[in-house]
Amino acid sequence: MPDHITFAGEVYERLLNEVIKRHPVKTFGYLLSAGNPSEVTDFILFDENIRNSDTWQPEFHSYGYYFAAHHDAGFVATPEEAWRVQKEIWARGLCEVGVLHSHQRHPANFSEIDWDMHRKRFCDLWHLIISMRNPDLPQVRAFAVSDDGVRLLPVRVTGQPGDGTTTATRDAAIRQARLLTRPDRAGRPSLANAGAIMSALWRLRTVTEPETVRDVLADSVFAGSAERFATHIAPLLQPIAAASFEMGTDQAGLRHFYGESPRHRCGLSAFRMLRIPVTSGLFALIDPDNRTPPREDLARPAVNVTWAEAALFALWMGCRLPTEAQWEYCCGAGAPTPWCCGTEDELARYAWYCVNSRDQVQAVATREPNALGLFDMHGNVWEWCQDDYDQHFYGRSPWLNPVNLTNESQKSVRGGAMNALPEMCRTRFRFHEAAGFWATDLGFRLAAPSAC
Amino acid sequence: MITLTLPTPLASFISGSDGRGSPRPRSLLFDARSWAEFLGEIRERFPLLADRVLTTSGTLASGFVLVINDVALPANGTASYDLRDGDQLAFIAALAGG
Repeated sequence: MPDHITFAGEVYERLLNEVIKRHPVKTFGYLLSAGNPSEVTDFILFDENIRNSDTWQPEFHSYGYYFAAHHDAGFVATPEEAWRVQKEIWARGLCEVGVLHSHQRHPANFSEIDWDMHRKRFCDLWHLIISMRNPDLPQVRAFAVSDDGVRLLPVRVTGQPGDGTTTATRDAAIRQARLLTRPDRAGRPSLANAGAIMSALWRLRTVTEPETVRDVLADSVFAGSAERFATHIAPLLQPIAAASFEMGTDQAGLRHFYGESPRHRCGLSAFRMLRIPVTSGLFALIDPDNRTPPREDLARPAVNVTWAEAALFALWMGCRLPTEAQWEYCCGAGAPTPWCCGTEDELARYAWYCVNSRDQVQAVATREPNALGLFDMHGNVWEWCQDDYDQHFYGRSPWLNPVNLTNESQKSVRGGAMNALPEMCRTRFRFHEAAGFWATDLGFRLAAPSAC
Repeated sequence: MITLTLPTPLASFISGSDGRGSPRPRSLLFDARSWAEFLGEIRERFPLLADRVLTTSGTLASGFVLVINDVALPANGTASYDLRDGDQLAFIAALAGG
């Protein structure tokens, strides 16, 4: 199995355009190569799907409510087309190196059904999933798949320009941070500049000392954060006592989940966690002109928020996004079970997810809180965390207050959403999105240091 | 003589000491003149492949397609096929996922 996947830029663009053109119809097919299993030189797609045939529908329904309720979830090629496609691959003189399919609602994760059906048929092919959950920003993820489990494979696209990152000098970093964090006339930061602001603050922290960072922030749009915190955030915070817990999943229970191992002991200092996801009404404070929702959405979680916008809002409110460790402890309340409630049968009491949400984001705190008094940790909306995502982080994370801050483009998200499968709502399920990604099921909550 | 052609994903089950690693489709010749003889020969020569595409009772495993002389046949519990000398066979996967 390769350690990364490389697409020629032209092939990658052609594939995405084809998936976009077919959306909301599911796309599935093979990735092809002239021989090197890591280099994609072409692809071939199927047109017919017999997932709802008498032969196949019962098998899909056996994977739970989501597949029974969504007849467009899943795919099976017809025998005739499987043979036609096979002959076409041979005619092109290419070979299959990967399987691909698109997700219409879910993020680009690899689920149990994918693992089962892939392993039953293939031993050497990798698997590419393209999520169309935000059709403006298709997500592409590749996975190495085997009986031993699933591993994320980096996807590289040749012929695309680099990110243009340069190393800022100290003075330039301070100038840029001051410029970008200057308040507008209403004393608010610009959400449109959230990515640039958070990048500037990252560079500032990288090239200057903490005192300088404090000086810059003191003169910036963040100056009034203490008052905003006291007014809007403090009443919603739940104190969380210092604790240690088992984080992650042991190898025996890992199956197709990646990034959750090794299971390890993790210590957390006392902190406070928002009892609910940040609501649309709360989030509108930072940009009332553009973010004020209809009245009926005020109590629903804020969604369509990028990581930078979430982090900027958190800073403006005198908080931070929770670390993955804080989030995981708060979700499961330290329990060893997959969900805070122990069994899937009880999950609907605590979570809005695919079995009870009708695929709609729901008002916060309308299910039961968990043992720590926190609402909506499972389901409703995915939640951004502070950490940069690294599937290998658990193997080297520090024991106390771990957080992975490397300014990578992929940020950790947790919790599942209103349309998520139960396995995606698990306490220990790790997922990730590009920092600039947004979606209708992606929100966040806030964390703050302990009050004492 | 029967010819069996395997696409790249299934060719992986017949090459090398552990039955894996072929990067290319493969064509194989069988002396069998019936489905029963074919089953016996494939199980003896290519047990990893047989375990993957056939059930213990000799039917095609779910998720695979048997092609006989350009006609694609799904796994439907059929226990025997009418094979003749010179037939061209292929096993292919019926792509599926969630």
